Amino acid sequence: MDFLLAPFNYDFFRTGLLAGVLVGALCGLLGVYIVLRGMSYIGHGLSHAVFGGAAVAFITKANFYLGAGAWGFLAAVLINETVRRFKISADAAIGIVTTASFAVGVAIISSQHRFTRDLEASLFGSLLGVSPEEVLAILIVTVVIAVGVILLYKQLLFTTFDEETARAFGVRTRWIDTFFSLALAAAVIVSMQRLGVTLIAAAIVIPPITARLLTDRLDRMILISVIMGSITAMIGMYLSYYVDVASGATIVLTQTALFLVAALYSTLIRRNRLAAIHYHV
Amino acid sequence: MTTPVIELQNVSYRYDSTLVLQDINLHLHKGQFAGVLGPSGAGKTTLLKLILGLIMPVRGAICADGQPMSGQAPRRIAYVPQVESVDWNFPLTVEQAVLMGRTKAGSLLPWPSREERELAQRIMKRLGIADFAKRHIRQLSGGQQQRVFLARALIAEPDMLVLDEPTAGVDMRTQEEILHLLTEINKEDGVTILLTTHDLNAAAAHFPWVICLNRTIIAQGTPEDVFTPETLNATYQGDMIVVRQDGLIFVQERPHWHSVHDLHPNPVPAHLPAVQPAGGSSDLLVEPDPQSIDKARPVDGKESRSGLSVSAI
Repeated sequence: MDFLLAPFNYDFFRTGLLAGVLVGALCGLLGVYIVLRGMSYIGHGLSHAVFGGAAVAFITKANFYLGAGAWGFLAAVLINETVRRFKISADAAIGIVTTASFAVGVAIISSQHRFTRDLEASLFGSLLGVSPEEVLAILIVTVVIAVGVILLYKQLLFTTFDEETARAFGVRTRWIDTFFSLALAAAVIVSMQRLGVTLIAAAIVIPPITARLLTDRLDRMILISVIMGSITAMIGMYLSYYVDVASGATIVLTQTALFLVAALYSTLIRRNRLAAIHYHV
Repeated sequence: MTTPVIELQNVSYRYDSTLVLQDINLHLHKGQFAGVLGPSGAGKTTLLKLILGLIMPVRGAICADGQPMSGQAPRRIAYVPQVESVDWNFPLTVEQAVLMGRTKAGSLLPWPSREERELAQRIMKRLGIADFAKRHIRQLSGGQQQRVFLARALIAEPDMLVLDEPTAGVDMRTQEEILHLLTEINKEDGVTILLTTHDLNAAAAHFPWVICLNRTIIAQGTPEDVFTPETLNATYQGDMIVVRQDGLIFVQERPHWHSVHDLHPNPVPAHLPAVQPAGGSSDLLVEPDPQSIDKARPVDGKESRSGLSVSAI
């Protein structure tokens, strides 16, 4: 028990844990829709794009959220324009724009010759240095997105399942897509410092995929994914504290372990079901 | 003359530089049951998308109930897309898939109301899928999946149903059942129905009105009037044979002046496995006689040619 409670004596751990749990739940929630839309690598691309903005914000001493947000928006516009003007496919455009943006970030860091804590956090995720403002920002983004997903649940479901037919049924799919893109950008920006650029994609993909192995219903898939996202974030934060490893890595490794357990479980269940069928036949 | 439910005036549509539809003039009236026929790439699905408001014509106008249509889909038309158009592994039960049809009409709450669930239950019962309500959509056959899409459209309580190839990829019996179900919905509920199909014989037997499409409307009318070799040749760019017998119409593309024996003059010989009946009497063994098979084969191509030309009259 002391093992669990001891870190709570530290202010930084309490805020870090809260931030981690919220970010885990948020990524678990949006991740369900991302996985079902077959866009698993969008989180990866977005976080890399935003990293360039974070680096620029760092050297110009501008606000991190402002810099990252503006940069992310610019990257999205650039991707769209590249696709439209040069008639190249969206995945190639995402590849070019986001890696170029990441390269800008790397160039800035290497020219500075000092690897500050904030930027290291942006790369690998950290339990340290969570300000109360950051927790507030994460809390607001999480609540707004959760309320949005609840209110738009039916529209999101139909749009994700079959966009064109949803439109034929009068669903305003463009608005739904806009809400979704904004939500995703906001989630990536507030999650970046806790999970890290390179690991955010995993936190978006692993919980929903694990949940999918365990259920055939979307409502349950969301529930499992959100719970798994927040619990693994909690475990990851403790591990990060005790083992002194970047929190992004501990969270993702915890999720991977759970995924493997779920994969094993679902394989056994399926085999048992097959065995039962053979038995009855 | 009443105002058409849907009216297309000189409508054209192009994808990039390819003209897919040209000068389409079409009226659909309340309670009509019409089928759009044409080869692959004739623009059938594009025509449906124009009527649904999913795409806008590059030329011409589309009116719904006499009013010019804007970008948003007209509310009272429900769409049944092709079954293959979605990922059937999507985490969804049959009931949830059906209830999707209430997305626009329902409340902002994430779950359906009791009335909506009862309505879904009634419709699923009518379509014979109520027993699968709690099953995952992947666990259904092709015909049952088609019924799920149909139920999803009906729960929106539409005035008109637009269906894209509702009989594609299902066996003949299921096809027959689906077409009879649509006829029932058309007659009993007064729902206007527009569907596409590539099955000419099913169209001849079930549709009171057919529209032959190949980039533009080649002909439209009752199957009796429209199903002539000339119209069908123009639609399918092929050589079609139309046989009329006992009030039925059969259509077949003429084999290119060959019979199966012209194509395979020396097939690898095959024989049926000997079947031992339950009684065990060796007298009843079924064995084909290679001689009789050989005799059944026409001697030359002339016989088959004359056979075909007779049926073409």
